[in-house]
Amino acid sequence: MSFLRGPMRKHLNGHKDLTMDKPVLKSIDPDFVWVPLCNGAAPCSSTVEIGDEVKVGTRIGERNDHFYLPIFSPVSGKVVGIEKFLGSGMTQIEHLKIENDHKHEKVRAFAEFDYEAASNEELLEFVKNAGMAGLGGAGFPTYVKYLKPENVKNFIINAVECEPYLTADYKNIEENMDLLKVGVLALFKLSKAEKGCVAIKEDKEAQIAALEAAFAGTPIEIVKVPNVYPMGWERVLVYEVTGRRYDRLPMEAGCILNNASTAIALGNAIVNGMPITHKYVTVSGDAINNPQNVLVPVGTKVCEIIDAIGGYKAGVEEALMIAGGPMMGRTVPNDQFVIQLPTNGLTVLEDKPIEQVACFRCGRCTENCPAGLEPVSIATAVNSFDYEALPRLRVLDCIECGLCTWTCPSKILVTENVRKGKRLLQTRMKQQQAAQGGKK
Amino acid sequence: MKFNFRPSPNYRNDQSTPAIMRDLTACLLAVLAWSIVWYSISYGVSYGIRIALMALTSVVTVEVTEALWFKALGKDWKEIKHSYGWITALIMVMIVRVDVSIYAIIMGSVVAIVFGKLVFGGFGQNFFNPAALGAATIMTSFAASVAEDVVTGPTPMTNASSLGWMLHSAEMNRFLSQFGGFKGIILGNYPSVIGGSCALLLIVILIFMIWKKDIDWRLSITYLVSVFVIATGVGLVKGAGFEFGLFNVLTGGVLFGAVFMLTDPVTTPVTIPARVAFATGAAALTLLIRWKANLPDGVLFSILLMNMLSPAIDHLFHGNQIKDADRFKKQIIGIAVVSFAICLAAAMTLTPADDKAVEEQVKVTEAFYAETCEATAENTYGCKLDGFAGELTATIEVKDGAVVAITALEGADNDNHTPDNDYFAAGALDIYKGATGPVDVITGATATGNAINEMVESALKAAK
Repeated sequence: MSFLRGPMRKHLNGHKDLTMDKPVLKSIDPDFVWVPLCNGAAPCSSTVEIGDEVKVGTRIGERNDHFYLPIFSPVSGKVVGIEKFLGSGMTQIEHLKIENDHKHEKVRAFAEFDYEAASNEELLEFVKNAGMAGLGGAGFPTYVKYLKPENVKNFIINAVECEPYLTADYKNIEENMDLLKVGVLALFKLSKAEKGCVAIKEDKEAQIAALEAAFAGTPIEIVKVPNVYPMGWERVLVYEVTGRRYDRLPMEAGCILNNASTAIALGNAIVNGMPITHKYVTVSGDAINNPQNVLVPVGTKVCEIIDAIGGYKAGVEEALMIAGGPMMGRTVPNDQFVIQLPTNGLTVLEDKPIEQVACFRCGRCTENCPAGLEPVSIATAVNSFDYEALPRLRVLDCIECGLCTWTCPSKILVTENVRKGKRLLQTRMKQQQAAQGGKK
Repeated sequence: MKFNFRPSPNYRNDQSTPAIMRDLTACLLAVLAWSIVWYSISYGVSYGIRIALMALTSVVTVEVTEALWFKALGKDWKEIKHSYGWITALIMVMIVRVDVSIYAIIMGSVVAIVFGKLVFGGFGQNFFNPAALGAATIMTSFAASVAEDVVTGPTPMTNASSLGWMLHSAEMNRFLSQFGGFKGIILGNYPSVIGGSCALLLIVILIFMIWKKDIDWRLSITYLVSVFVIATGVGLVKGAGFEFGLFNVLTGGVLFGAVFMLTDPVTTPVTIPARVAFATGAAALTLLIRWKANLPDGVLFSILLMNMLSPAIDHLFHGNQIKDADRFKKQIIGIAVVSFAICLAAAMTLTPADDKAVEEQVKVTEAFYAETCEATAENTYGCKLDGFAGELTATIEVKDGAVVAITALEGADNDNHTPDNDYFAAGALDIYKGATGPVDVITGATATGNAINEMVESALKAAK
């Protein structure tokens, strides 16, 4: 915050106490899992046939376009089919249905690997083949960030779970400190950075103490950051830690970032030779009986998780089922979707009607926008289809963090307006490109 | 269980627009209450009642107009609840003088709400601050429509204006003494626009609303600081000093405007740098209108003029608040420099008032404030007021609307009186015989002359 700039971030009531101090439920072992054959918006292909026997850690699919990402079976059992239904990203995706034989037979997916002795090329190849993807939400293949690390000054592990309600990352860190250490040190080596750190919110005192003890004697520092939203966004975190801003990628500011859960997954791959098969997922909100964290196989149906932890609250007739936290998570209009690789939370909220009043241009959305945009002016431009104003208003810089809607006293769906603006402009740009291509 | 779809985010802040408007209403009512009490104490209960009546009239007019408007458009008339018209009404009453007639208040309210707000599409859509538009209409179109039986004293604005605004430090203190010095100014112990005088109350409200985040502190603070910096800068150049800066901030509508009018987000730009530029420009315009234009105070029109520029300023500051920060900074510095330069250039033409003019004005004002007049016998009135160098008393005999005689003039004259113009000399008061109004005062003793004139007027009025 400065005289000419608003705070650009806000402390939100995180409701993290609902799940923070409760043990993680690990007994959920569904009869079937549906492993999503997708990575982000990109489809993946199956590498097994229906009827094949699989074990925990068997490679069952891959993404193989301009990026490579293998997919592994989270359970042991038999592949029974491919089903297409609505995923947590609100698109129809194909799922590989595997019948769980509850034997938990494992196959070591990766050979033993000594990351300290290995060359950086070998380590990069290991990360690529281990199916490491950003577990903070985006699911971006991890190895891509480390292809050409040049002049990297800061290597940052993002342990800032800034979405309200979610505590899955903290639980994961608490329970897997050894794996975290291995993963962080391996990625730090790969980044060739001058300095490395784990960034965590300053109020998480127990986790900070544990992290400091674990990383004592390593070059990794523990950096405490303010308890505000969206502290976990790369741009905000890079600015907080280094004071630098960048245009497109953190590498421009000499930074490489990874989520703490990603580092833990890599640690697991190095130490135990196992890929990501299970996910820590926070199940919270005011419409379920027992909010808590669960550790479930990837591909577990949401309704089974809810049933296992005590079901929905009686008396709630209409609810929002949010894949993720309430700020950026999407509402899915059913509870039949499955836990995907990047899913780290389910927030179930009672759907209470919100009374909207007219915008009076108070400017709170502008003051608080972490990207420095003017949602109110963008809304005006969108509603009048002012295609010239949209680029000038830098609408494409929006990441849809939701803070403008959160902060709006008139309860207007501000973020949705900006989202429309982005889509309008993107469609327009595509049309123009197509028209220009046609002329040539 | 039914799962609904809603676009993200699905998490909301506690602050709501109705709550902000509730705070704003409460603050305006506090100012209204203060005005009613102060006018009741200073001028009599009828003045307090009058202010309450003006506020009530305006609120009722605005609400009825809005209800009819919504009805005419085929909407639910209950939408007035979310149109917040009463805030416009209260602000408008607070920025006019107490002598404005009820008729003018009704006309001003209708103009404010219809042409200031509803024709643009209602709450959130208007260009001009509706209350300022209503008050400007009253000032310009209904200036003569004043209540005859309502008289208050001179205001710092009109007095400063008649002295040509520029006052040196010593004269400034003497000038302010007619309003009880800076203490009187801060406590608001002088007449002005109805809600504009108590600086202390307005500062408390400003702090409260900033603390509650109801208003953008940058707008208010930038405006106040800009007024102070420009006026002090000009004051230092012209040898008037800090008092000049302080006087310009604390009197007139500056504080009221900074709290309630400039902070109306609907009619001000939306981004922070644009708001800073807006407030700087408004400050410069306020001072320019004060010092050089034909109006006692410039706050109202400076806000209306800046409202017109709001969309242009917004346009000037479009972009990304991070990526375009340097451009914004340069633009603001440019606007600030130009604002200051224009004000300074305009102020160079101001001539500081000489001490005699100030002294005379102070006497007139003081005489005005201290006057009493009571009937002592049939057709005879004992009058008393604070004169040039102490209390003056006189007995005035009136018959058929004319002065018969002034006798028993007692008290002190000024220190440098000469026998030629001494009102206390035998026969000196004969000039008042048969007078039906003020008499031209004897040269060189204007203050005492004015004081006697005041007493004569009171006696004539009392005899009616």
